[in-house]
Amino acid sequence: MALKDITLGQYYPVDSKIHELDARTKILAVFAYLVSLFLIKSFTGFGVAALFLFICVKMSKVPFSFVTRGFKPILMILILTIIINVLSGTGEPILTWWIIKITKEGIYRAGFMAIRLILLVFGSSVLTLTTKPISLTDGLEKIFSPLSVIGIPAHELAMMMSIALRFIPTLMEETDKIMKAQSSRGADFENGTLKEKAKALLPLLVPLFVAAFRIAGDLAMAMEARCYNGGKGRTRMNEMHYRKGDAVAAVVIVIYLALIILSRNFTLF
Amino acid sequence: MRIEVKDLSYVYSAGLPYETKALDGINFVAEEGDFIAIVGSTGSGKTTLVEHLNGLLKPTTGQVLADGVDINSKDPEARKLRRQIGIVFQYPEYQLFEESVIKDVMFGPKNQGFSEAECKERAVHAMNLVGIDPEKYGEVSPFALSGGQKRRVAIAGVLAMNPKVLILDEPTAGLDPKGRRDILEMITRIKDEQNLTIFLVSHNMDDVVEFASRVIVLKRGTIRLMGTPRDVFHNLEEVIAAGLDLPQGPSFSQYLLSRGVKLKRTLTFDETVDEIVRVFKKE
Repeated sequence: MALKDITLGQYYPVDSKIHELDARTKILAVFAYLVSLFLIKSFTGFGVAALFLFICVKMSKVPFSFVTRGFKPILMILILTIIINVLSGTGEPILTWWIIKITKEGIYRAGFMAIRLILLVFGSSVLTLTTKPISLTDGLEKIFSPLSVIGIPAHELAMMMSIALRFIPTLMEETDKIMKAQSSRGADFENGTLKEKAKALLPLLVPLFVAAFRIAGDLAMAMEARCYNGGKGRTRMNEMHYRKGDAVAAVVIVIYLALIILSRNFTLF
Repeated sequence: MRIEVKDLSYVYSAGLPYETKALDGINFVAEEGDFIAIVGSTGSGKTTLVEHLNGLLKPTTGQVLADGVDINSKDPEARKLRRQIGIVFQYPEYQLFEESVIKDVMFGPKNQGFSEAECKERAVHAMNLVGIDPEKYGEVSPFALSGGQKRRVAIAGVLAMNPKVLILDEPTAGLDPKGRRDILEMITRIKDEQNLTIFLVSHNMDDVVEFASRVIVLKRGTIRLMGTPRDVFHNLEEVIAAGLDLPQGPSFSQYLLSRGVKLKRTLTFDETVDEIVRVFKKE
């Protein structure tokens, strides 16, 4: 089993201007970028968005092959989107066969959606590639902390997220161990009908759940032993600070958004 | 069953920048009825080695032969042989999952394709071997048992498959001294009764000295020392260099030697006591 190969939180550790930015800046920038993708009405706009993303990736020093790796899992969704959009197009058909009708508008829309989807995935992966998962949750906590006034527990939510992230590799390891143990007892996780495969998961899932509860119990105990009692009055070891780079990034993003909005009115093709 | 490991090497994450050689050129033979202890510091490759012995990991280069047949070959015989090599992992109690003890022990034989009645018979036999009364505990949930009992049930789950070779990866981790002795004595008894070949991964050198017939010392994926416990622990410098503790006996006699007491090198605890008594009586 290649369980070890799965990487969530695919942080790529190099030094770059993008890595140095404050996590909050990057989260807000990516949010703005994702929104901008939905504002775009023309391929010209996508050209601007793609160019912007290309420059960001270049600056982040993350190899392109690494960025495109995140693309594989969504390939199926992408193909499905294209097919559905091509088939559901309205307008003058250029090709008709049985109940299938392909129109120029359909192809245009499919291309449009596909590019949007690709940019959405690449755009958000720039964030996860250049930001450590822990800084990410810290950033989210900071961004949402004003909401604690209206009763949203920003700190607790962020803590839950960091714990979840922290325990993904642990549970992976646990899964790997249990799988090995059960396959030594003759369990077969790969062959058989769907029903047999589902049944074969039971000897894996039951111990895994037991392990998850055991680990959670231990962790809760360890946190309490160190007097953890939620976010109130808690200080942190590494305070987040905005630097000069963050101001530059903010200006760049505003200019980018302006360009995107302008591109709504000037369509080249 | 005779196990032969030939030029075994294993590389983790081959081709990636963080590729590591976990095992490098391992060679040894285990005869039927051997009790082999595999020792070494953390990260020396013990667990990687034993996972090769029943085909969970495939060697990057080299072979594992069981009675002369490569267990990783496509030969149907190889599959049958692999199933006769049972492995008990660290903290095996964490792999229990069934609603009753007897059902959990029956899981292995069921996967081997035996009938319900036959599975039950094997399960009862295996539970008796590990000293868990099938009458009393058969229908109890495995999660309701104590830690030591769970571990016995998990070992029974492997024994129920009638292995010819039994691999135990730190079967005594986390047990108290009595629990430890009980498990090791049980393993020795079962080995003699069923004529098994045993591989024991252990950090406890006193257990190794007392129970093993041969010792393999691993360091960074290679065999540093191999032989009877007496031969291996005669070579104190090498043992310490491999990052291991000394057993109590040699450790104490070594200390006395360094303080000028003239006594013979000893191995087990009892031997050491006898030797000290002998030397001091003479004086």
